[in-house]
Parts: sequence; C-alpha cells; structure tokens
Amino acid sequence: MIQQLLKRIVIKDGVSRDEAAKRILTADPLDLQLHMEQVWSAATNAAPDEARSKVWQLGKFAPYAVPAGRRAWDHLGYSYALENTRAVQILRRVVRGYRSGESLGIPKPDTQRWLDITETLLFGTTSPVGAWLPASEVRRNAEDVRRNAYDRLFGVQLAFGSDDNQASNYEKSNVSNTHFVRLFEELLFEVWQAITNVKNQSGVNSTDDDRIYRLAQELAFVLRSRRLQNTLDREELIAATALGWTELTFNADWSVIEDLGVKGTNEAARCKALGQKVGLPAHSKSEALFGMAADLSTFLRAIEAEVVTKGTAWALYLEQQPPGTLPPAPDPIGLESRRLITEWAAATGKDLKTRAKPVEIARPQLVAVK
Amino acid sequence: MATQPPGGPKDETRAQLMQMRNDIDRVVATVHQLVSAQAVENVLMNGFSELSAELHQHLRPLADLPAKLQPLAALAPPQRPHMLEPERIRLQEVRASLAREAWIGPGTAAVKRPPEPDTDDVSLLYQMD
Repeated sequence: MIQQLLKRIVIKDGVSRDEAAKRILTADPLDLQLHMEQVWSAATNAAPDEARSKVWQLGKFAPYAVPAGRRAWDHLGYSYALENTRAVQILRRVVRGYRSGESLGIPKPDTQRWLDITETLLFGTTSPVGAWLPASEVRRNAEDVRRNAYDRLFGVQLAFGSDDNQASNYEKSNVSNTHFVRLFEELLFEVWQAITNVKNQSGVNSTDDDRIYRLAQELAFVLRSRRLQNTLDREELIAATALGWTELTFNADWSVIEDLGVKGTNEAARCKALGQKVGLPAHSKSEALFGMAADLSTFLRAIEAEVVTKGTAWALYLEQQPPGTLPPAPDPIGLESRRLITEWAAATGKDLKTRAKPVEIARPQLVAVK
Repeated sequence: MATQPPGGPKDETRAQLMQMRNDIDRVVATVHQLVSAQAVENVLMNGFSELSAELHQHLRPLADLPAKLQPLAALAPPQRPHMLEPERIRLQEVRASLAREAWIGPGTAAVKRPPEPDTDDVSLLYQMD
C-alpha cells in the first residue's frame, strides 16, 4: 500500500519520487492510518454514510484516492518475502534502542517522525479505528498474526524464530495450504520451459500451455479457498502496509539510515548492515528476497484473479501481447515471472530450471485439515 | 485623302487584335500540352493494366497454394489466441492496483546487484506437513 500511495502522489502532484517518498516518511502516523482506512473502504465499497468513510476524509492523503472496488495493496506473498529478510525484527530493535535509551544516538526530527510511524504501523501501539489494530487481547503480537496468515495461505513459516531466537508459538490454524509451495514451484518450472521456447520456431518445444493453465487454475483454487468471504484480506492489507513501510525505510539513505550510520547501496545491503549494528543478522539471501517481493505479488495476484484461462497461458510468460492485439492492452507478466524464477531459485536453493517430480494434482490433498 | 494620325482609333484596334491573338496562341499551346499529358497518362495506365493482367495470369496457378500447404500447418509456429475482454480487464486491474514507482532512491546503486550464485541456504521455506 505504501509503494502504491507513493505512485499516486507522483502521478497526481507531478513531484519526483524522492519528494513523494519524503512526504510519506515525514507524515503524521494518523494520516497514514487514515489512508489505510481509505484504501480498505475503496476495496470493500464501504457505504459513504459509515463513520469510517467520513473519518478517512480528514486525512492528509485523502486526495490520493483509489477507485472503488480496487484492492490497491500488495499480495501477502510480498509481505512474506520481505519479512523473511528479518527486517521487521531488526527495526524492532532499532525502535527499542531509540525509545529506551541513547545507545543508538539522538535521533533527528525526521528520524523521530519515522519512529512514530514505525511504532504505529509495525508494532501497533495505537489506532484511531479499533478494527485496524493489528493485534488485540486475543491476538497479542502483530508478527504472530502475520505468521498465522502465511501458514494458512501458503503453508509455510518464516525462516527464523522470535526476536530472541526462540521458536515462535503463534496460533496455528486448523487449515493450511500445505501443497502450495510444490504447486507453485511446478508452475514456475513450466513457465520457465515456456520462456525458453518463446522464440523457438523450429526445434523441439517443451512448452505445455495446458499444464500451465491447469497448475494456475489449481493455485487459484488453493489461494481463493482461504479467502472465502474476504477472509485474510484485512490481515493482508495490514501486513502489506507494515512491510511496505519496511521496504521504503530501506529504499534509500533516509534520515534514519544516516542517523544509524549504516552504509549500503541497495535495500538488502542496508538491511544487513543495520542487522549487524543491532546484533540481529538479516537473512543471507536478503538480496533475492527484496528482489522478488514485488514480482511475487504481481504473479500471485494474476493467478488469483484468474488471468490465465484455457488458451491464454502465455499471460504468464510473454512480455508483450501477441501480435495483432488491439490496443489498449496491458502487458502480460512474463517479465515478472522471469525475475521471480531467478530470485526464488536464489532464495530457496532450488533449481527451478530442471524437471522436478511432477506434482500430482488432486484437490482433496491440497488443503490439510489438522 | 486624309490620313489617320498615329495613335488614332485604328492603331488601338490593331493593338487589341494583336493582344487577343497572343492570348489565343497561349491558350492553344496550353491545350496542346494538356492533351499531350493526358496521352502520356493514358499510355501509362494502359501499360499498368496490361502488366497487372499479365501478372494475374502468371500467378493464377498459385491461387490454391494455401490449400496445398495445409498438411504442413502443424509445422508452423503456434498461434496464440488473444485474450478475451474479461481476462484483459482482470489483468489491467492487477496492473493498475499494484502499480509502483521503479525508483532508485538517494544512495542506491543504479544497477542492482544480481542474486548470489551460491545456493547453500535452503532453510527459507518450511512445509507444514
């Protein structure tokens, strides 16, 4: 949501990307929370006479509205990839260090504003709308809420435990998409085969559009089965906002990065350097995780939206519409797929470009009920 | 016999007649040129028509070529069907809802580092079997 808001500011006001980012980084936390409420209201087509619809209009970012019915935030896969870098836990230590003493130095005003927003969006101290609290008496820890969502939607856990290296004891769900990763990787393999054969006009062609279609269909079924009646949508938006803020923090040498005295030429390098400073090492594959987050989001959203139908499997591996398509036509997601395959392979150590044992597609096995 | 003084009415009439004759000569010349151009155009047109007819005559045996090549259609590159309107709208919606700035902030290298080549760390994902 944060990155999409940045884009809307750039388009509407015609300012530079850096200027738009600074507006967000130095905003009042309440304004960002109200905009999150606005985005949610747009996605859920909230009635205009509801109190929340009136409240968000007070926010600084109200002019950057989202069209009704649009879910203008990243997929939960984006949050999962970024959270695996351990960036949130690293920022937790930064906030703790600044708030509890002077071990990290004295923060400048911009850094203090960053602390306010980070504490609000990531660690949920307050919210003007009770429904937006990422945690509650029942769900005490925002990170555990996200772990629960990752488990339910993808059947996976984070690669690390709690901040103090203890096993996480988040609330386990009774249902989990345990076969998601195997289906997903099988689909990536098939997409890679297709990508390598896009320009193959005469040789043996191993592209199997029908298999891509079937796998995409199964993945869409698996993901949507956990989203009945918009279940997990709220958690997804909260996670996307928190991790979007985290990504923005590491996007450049902002005030907080300079105050902390860390150096890095990209997001992962800054995250790793900051991890070292606060004594919590980032994931060794942080480059790949930062690199894939946005592409994973696009890929999974396209799958869930059922962009792929019988005959249009090319939507996942072409970079442009086939010749003869009448404009305007959106670009297929071949570019994102290619990047995702590379980064996913780097992050997981799995070679997606060689044939693994094919997945047996059978719906009753896709969801494990514990 | 009285003579007409120079510059009298008779000289004026003669001068007008000369002027008219010159004008008529120019018109006649122009008409001749136009007629010639038309003739060239006619020649060209007729030439092309004849050439075209001759070409069609020569190419007539190829008219049934597509039918003759039909058995080889399987060897042709695959034709990808176009996206139908509902899918196109859904893809457009995905693109629009996730649009973000591909920007490089202050202090970030212009070219992102490629992913690390070693793949020893396989601890990222855990299945919940």
